Amino acid sequence: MKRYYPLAFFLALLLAVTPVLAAQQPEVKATVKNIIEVDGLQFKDLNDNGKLDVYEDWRADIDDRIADLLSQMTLEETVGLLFCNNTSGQFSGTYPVTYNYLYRQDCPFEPAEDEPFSDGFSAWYYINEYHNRCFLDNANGTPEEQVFVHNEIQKMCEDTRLGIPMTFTSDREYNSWGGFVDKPHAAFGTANDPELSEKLLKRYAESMKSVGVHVTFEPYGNEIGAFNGEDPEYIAKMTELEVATLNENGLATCTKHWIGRGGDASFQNARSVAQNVDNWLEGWKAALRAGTPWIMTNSGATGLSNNVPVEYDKATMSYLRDTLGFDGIIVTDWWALGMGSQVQGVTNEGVDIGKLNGRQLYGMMLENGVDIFGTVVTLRGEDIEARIMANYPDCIVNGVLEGDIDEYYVQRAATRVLRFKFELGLFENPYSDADYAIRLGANSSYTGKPINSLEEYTAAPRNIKSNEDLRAVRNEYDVALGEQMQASSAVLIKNDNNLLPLSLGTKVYVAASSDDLAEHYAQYIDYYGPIVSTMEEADVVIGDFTAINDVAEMFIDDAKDAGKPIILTLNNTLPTQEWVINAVDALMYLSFNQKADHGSQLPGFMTTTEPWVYADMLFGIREPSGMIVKEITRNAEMDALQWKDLAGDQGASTWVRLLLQATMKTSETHTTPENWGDPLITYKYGMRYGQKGDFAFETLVLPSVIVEREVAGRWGGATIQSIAEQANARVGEPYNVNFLLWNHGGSDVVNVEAVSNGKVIAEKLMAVNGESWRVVSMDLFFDAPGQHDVTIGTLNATITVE
Amino acid sequence: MLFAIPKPKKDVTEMKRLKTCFLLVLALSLLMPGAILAETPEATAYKTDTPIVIDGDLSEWVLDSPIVIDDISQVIRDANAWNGPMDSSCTVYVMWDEDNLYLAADVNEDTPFGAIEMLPLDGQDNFKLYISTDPSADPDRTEYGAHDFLVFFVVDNQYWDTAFDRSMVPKENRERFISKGMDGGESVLAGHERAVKLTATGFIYEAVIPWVNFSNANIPVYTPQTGDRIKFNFAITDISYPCPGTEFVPQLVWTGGLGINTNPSSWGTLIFQ
Repeated sequence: MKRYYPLAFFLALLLAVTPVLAAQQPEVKATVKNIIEVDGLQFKDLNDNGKLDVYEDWRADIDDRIADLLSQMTLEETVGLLFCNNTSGQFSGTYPVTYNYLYRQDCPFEPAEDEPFSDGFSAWYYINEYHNRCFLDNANGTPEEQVFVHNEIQKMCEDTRLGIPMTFTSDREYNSWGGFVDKPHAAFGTANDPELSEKLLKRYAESMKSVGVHVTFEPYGNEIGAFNGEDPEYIAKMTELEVATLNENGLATCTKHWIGRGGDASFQNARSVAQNVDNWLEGWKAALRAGTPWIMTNSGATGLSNNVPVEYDKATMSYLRDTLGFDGIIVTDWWALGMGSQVQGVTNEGVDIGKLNGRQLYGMMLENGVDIFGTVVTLRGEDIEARIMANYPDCIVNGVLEGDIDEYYVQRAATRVLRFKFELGLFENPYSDADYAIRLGANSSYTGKPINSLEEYTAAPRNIKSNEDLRAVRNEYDVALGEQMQASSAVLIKNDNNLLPLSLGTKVYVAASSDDLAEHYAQYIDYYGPIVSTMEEADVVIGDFTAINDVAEMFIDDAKDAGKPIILTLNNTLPTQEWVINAVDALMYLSFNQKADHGSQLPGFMTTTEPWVYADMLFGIREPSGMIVKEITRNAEMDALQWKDLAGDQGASTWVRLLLQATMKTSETHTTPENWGDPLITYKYGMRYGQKGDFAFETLVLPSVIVEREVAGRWGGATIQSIAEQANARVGEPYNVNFLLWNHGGSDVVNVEAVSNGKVIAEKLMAVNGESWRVVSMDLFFDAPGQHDVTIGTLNATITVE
Repeated sequence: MLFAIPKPKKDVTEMKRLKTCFLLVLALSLLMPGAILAETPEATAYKTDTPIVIDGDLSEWVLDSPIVIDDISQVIRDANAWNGPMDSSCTVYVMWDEDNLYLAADVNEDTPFGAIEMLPLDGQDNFKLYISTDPSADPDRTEYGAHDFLVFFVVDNQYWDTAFDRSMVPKENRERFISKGMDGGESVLAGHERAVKLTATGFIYEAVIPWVNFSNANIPVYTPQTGDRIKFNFAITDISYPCPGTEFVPQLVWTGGLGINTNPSSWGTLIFQ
């Protein structure tokens, strides 16, 4: 027995300490209801009955609190938890907010002349009329403005019968400076810098939490072909990092869109003959591993069964709930009933969902595991055809009352919704501290102050009008991280003769997609090298374009006519055209864009690479260090043949594609080599300043023919043997040759030329990652018969042309 | 007032029937090329002796040659998501003087001002003006000439971006007049003014565009003459839900199909009077 004494002592100590730990007073803040004291501890009397109810008792088990609260709720109030509207039913929010937007009670109202279009609903109306407790808030404003709006809405929620707090969600991941700056989606993948990403994500989460946003409808880089590219291993790594960092720092993630909208093809369109569902799911599994508490569906698109939208497909929803074990909140995207017209299709069970009424549609989705239905607006009645993209809670209320919907599913969904709020501590204190939000998001020179009334809000100065203004007021650390990301996410594609970085004093002519943008660049380039007004005066001409269109084409033509070295930066558009890469001397792909996701960006702000960072990169103060995350096709036909659920197979033959498929299947991380296909630019490609390729050509393989030759036998006599011999070419017909192209240096591009009798008879642009290789396959064409000496790099062959 | 009116409830069966008919007619048209090459419509642009005041009030306009865009046969994109004339349609009027082109549109729209910066210009609520400034150009030309222009007017209650798309003009025809403002966020028309007035079913749009906008050092300013006939077309685009995930953005056009973006022969004709 003696040996159990230490354990008994430990248990006794634990029992003694537990009540003390459990009774640790959280911050309780009330603005409408009373705070009551029990056992010397503070609680919020949310239902105003002067007593401490179980759901008000933060010491109680969360399951008990949920059960108590649900027992006090009407069916309408419970159903109200299952809908998430845009704040006040406005897609973009109103900025600055108005009395109508927040408080108006006689809804729908007629908006004032200066108010953007809305259906005339207010926040108050949704909270009180529909009992909504989830708003999608893609609204604009400074940190203190956001805190004011969110706190006012929380106050309205507290003022209701049971005081259930609001959950604020946002399509934006970084919106404490709402409409000024957001997360640059593509940059995170392209930068391939987990350390920098983690620092930024931590700041995003802390900032969002500080202004009262609880959930971001992010990430969606877990989808193949989206911001993290197509390599499942890389997608999983970056997704796990993002989900974990945001959640650990106070911003819940809603990973979307189950089972995949995809970057360039949705799940339904992406599936190749190989049906690489496991490959596709690597990113999703990473999000679940990292503990994503919410998931959004891909409304309107099919899932595993490929017959009805995912919310109606038991197989797809069950895979998430049962196979993958997700027990968090599932919210639909904003058109679960349909977009344009009602959802269509026949389920595996033979149900034609196009013929179902609202009750049946909602009932089916709830049964399949949906908890919240997203929408811009909520309307009364059950006539879902009246406006298919609205939501209709009456369908669920009446459906339950008349036995068309099993209330169990409603309670199950409401339980998940309430659990999230309880775990977040919103019942105790849903309010944000504007002082803290300002300290966190702004620097010491910022003059913004906490706002206490709509009058103060309306009167607040709004004098941040440019990127420079914004840079001057934001937290310096956040600014520095953002600028680092701008350079880290730029990919140097070509840099002939080490044209970049430019030397100080280089005379520069700069053009861009718009004159304003060019002037903005010039303002900062001029710090390092004088800006000249004509190409003829310049040492180098620089063009920044958002598309390879007539504007870029004329720029390149003019620069070539002027005989000047050309630096081209492709701004948020990929280098997809071989002729462009060949035409310029240096080429950079800028993936950075911090434009506000959903809703409206505030006017006057440049959201792509800022001009001072642009100038820094050109002159080597900063270095572009990103990589291509998704191999770039040579043409549309090649892309159409690519399997969207497999990586690394652009331009691959069927044989190679199957080798890639087998490699992926046998790889723990579902990854594949990046250099087996024949893309224009390979996955992971990205140059560095001062580095260049060191190319070597090897093993030229010419076409063969099998001929039969009589061979003398060892013991006399003769045998007929099949022998492979070099095939002859034919005039005007392709003569396919293959060889290895090694790159013993840094990543670089080379235009491989096949030369015959001093004439280029074929050429092909090859981008080869550093210390790697590619197989080059070229079709040679001859215009005359005879013997032709052909040179490709250091390879030589004599080819007979018939 | 727009918001107090109940949303018109569409007759789904009727819509489906109309769409079926439309597809049938389309299929028959494809079988009979002659049908597609039918005569293109004409409209009259009336001259104004005094500059029109741009205030959303059309009382000083001559309205007897409307360009009506309200039929399912005029939907050239995402017809399955077009819910009838109250969803999106318009009647367009054109006037002119030596210095200016005047445009007015009486628009029916149940979700006006659907612009979102994340989408390309052609995916946002917009008007597209297709206009030639060369009355002498072959009306049956099948590619854009130097004097053929496509102008975007983004219809947003805040920004009202404008842009020229010249990407479809063959390089040899561009005369160094290239695309402008296609990234959005710009107003590329000098002297352009517009005004909007909400109505019970949408809004009235009124604008002036100086002719000088359709010129550069190589393309002279067009000064219309009474009797001039130029190729002309007009489109209206309606995004009902301005979200990046929106799949369907219907577009209606006065005349022609998607080919109007690369081929002016199927545009209508505007007669200056």
